[in-house]
Amino acid sequence: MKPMVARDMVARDIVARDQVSLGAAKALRLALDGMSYRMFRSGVTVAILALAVAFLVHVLSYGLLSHATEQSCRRELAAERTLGQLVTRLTRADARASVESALSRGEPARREEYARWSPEVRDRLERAGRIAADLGRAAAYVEGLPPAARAVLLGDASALELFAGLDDPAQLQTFERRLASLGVFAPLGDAASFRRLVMTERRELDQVIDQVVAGHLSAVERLRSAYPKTELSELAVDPAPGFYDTVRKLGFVLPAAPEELREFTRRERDLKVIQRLLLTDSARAAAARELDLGLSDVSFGVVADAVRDVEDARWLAAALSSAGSPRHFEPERLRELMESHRRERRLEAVAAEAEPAPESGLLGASSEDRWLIVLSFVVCVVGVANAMLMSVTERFTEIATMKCLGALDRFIMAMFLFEAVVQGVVGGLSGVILGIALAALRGLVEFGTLFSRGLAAAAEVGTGVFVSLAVGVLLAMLAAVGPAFLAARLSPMEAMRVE
Amino acid sequence: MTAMAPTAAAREASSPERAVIIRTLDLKKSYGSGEAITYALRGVDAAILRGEFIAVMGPSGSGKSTFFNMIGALDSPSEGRILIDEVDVAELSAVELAFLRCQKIGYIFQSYNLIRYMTALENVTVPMAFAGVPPEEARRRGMELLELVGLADRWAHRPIEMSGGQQQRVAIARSLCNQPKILLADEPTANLDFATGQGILDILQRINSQRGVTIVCSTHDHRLLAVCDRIMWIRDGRVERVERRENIQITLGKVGDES
Repeated sequence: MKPMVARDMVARDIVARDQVSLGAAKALRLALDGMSYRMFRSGVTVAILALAVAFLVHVLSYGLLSHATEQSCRRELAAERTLGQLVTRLTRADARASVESALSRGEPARREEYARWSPEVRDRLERAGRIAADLGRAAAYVEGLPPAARAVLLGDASALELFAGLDDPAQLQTFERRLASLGVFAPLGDAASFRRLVMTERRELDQVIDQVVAGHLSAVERLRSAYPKTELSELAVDPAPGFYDTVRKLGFVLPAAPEELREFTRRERDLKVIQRLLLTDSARAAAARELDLGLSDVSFGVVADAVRDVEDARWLAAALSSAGSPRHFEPERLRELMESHRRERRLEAVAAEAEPAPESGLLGASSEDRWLIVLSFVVCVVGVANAMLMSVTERFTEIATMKCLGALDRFIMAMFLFEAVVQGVVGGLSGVILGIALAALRGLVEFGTLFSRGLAAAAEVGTGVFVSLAVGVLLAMLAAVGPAFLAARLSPMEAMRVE
Repeated sequence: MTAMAPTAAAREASSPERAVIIRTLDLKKSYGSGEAITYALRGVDAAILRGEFIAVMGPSGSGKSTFFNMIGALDSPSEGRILIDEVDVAELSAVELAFLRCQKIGYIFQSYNLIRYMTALENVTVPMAFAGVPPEEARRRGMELLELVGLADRWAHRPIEMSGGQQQRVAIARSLCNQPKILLADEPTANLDFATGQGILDILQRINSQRGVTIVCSTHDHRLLAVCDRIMWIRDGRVERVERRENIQITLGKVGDES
């Protein structure tokens, strides 16, 4: 408060002085009182905010959670595939294309194996990996060109096949001429690096791959000579003592513990046997009878879906043995097998949907979603502004009276901004709860129990929630600024008006 | 509180007339411009004396309300000056105006204007909160004032639970809470029945005589003529007449026909 300042020296009753500035707490209290009196109106405002925030939270958190789920399924599936490949890789050298893609992806396990099999290329593996990655990028670029350009450049071949032929200068020239005539950039952006890539670096990569394949082949030979009497694929399922130790000594990196490998290969073998048996007429007939299906509708997938408990598995066990099964399947084992098959199919389904990582952190929503979010914000701001405007206009007399009683403009302004903040916080919180609940529900419907894997993204979702809450409060304040300003500028004369 | 501050008393003693608390000099107010210009006030020179009870009368459209808003520092004139205790209102900043309205002028409205979501006591303490009076002190003074207007037992009631007369009494208590020097009452009895209106007038008169508060009251209520010191008639944006009450006793009937 300013000191008392008299306008002149004559003492008098009325002395002009500055009005006291009140604290925020008082404005907040008045705002709360006013809101509780107009519960319904405030409720509508809060609901509008809650819906907008819920939408934002839903889009953000569902995107993050489903992405985390898909990635986790993908990783698990990739691990299973590695397991599945093991038997093949014990008996046969990797294909050249497989080596190239493993190098370009820089898989540590594969690189380790290659380095052990062919120690002479150990130091060149990294460079080979970079070359392979460059080739992959260049190929993706060419294949991503518009269809007409792609047809001119590639014809029926794949880009990698085409690149393989470009170490011939004549062909390279033709390719470059076509690029120029189409008016597109050379792959990798500049012609010189591309030329180096397909002319010299390609050859370097091929040499490394040759060495790696030769190394792998000799490891396979040595393994075979260590166990001359038995098929290696049989040994993987029923390993002789020390089999997996030998495998490891020969340079193979085991993707899992021997126990798990044995279990996995056994499962794969059993599933294959059952699949084959279900093609026989007698097993098909039994399944059709049991499942009440036409004979032509019976397939392994249908049977796997139907067998969900031990009871179901009994008829299957009987059907399989009457179809001449080479080994006896316990119903319990059959149920397990079918369940693992169903699980794998679900993983595959989820992983197939996996999209590339969200582009830019939190707001990595698709552009369509982004439009919807912006639109929902606009609607929200308009709705809240309208509600605030009504709150102000229907309180004209009250506001003007307060100004007659000595309220400062900024106090009135603060009162309405507080009203907005409180509504923003309440609406934001309920929106967050609603949005998370919706995202969880949608995730459960879409992914089932696999959705629990999405919890890996909990921290990011937490950040998203915080951001959404802040957005809710900001929207409310943004919408309130106009009406609050109107209220603050209202003339105290309005108090004298009689309705 | 004594009726007059010593300095005011001294000044009154030194001058043959009572001191002027509100003075207007050639007050004009117009709306619109050019052809469409309309005048609400066409040059009002008026003086309201310290401690008097003055009634402002006039038909609707006479400029009475505009005049009233001006002397209450709620509106600014197009031309002319308003001096409240010799201070030109136009010279005051927004913050100083708020102080003036809060501490020095009390307002009583035709439709009471209590804040709907507050109890009687809370309504009375609002201006004290704006003046920075501590809450405890504000409540104590609020209860005293409610007692003054005879509503101490209804302090926890909200406006909706009170009659018009009770609401107006709460409003009077509210207008007095920062010990104002001037009370502006805008048709305080217009919305009330006969007996209740009389009660309000009695309270106003008591405040005027016991506390020495200057009361300016716009009204159509002729009972007011019995309690006020002077009457000012406004017509067509000008002061038509100002009379002391003693001088119009005999012409009361005629005045009634006019307004």
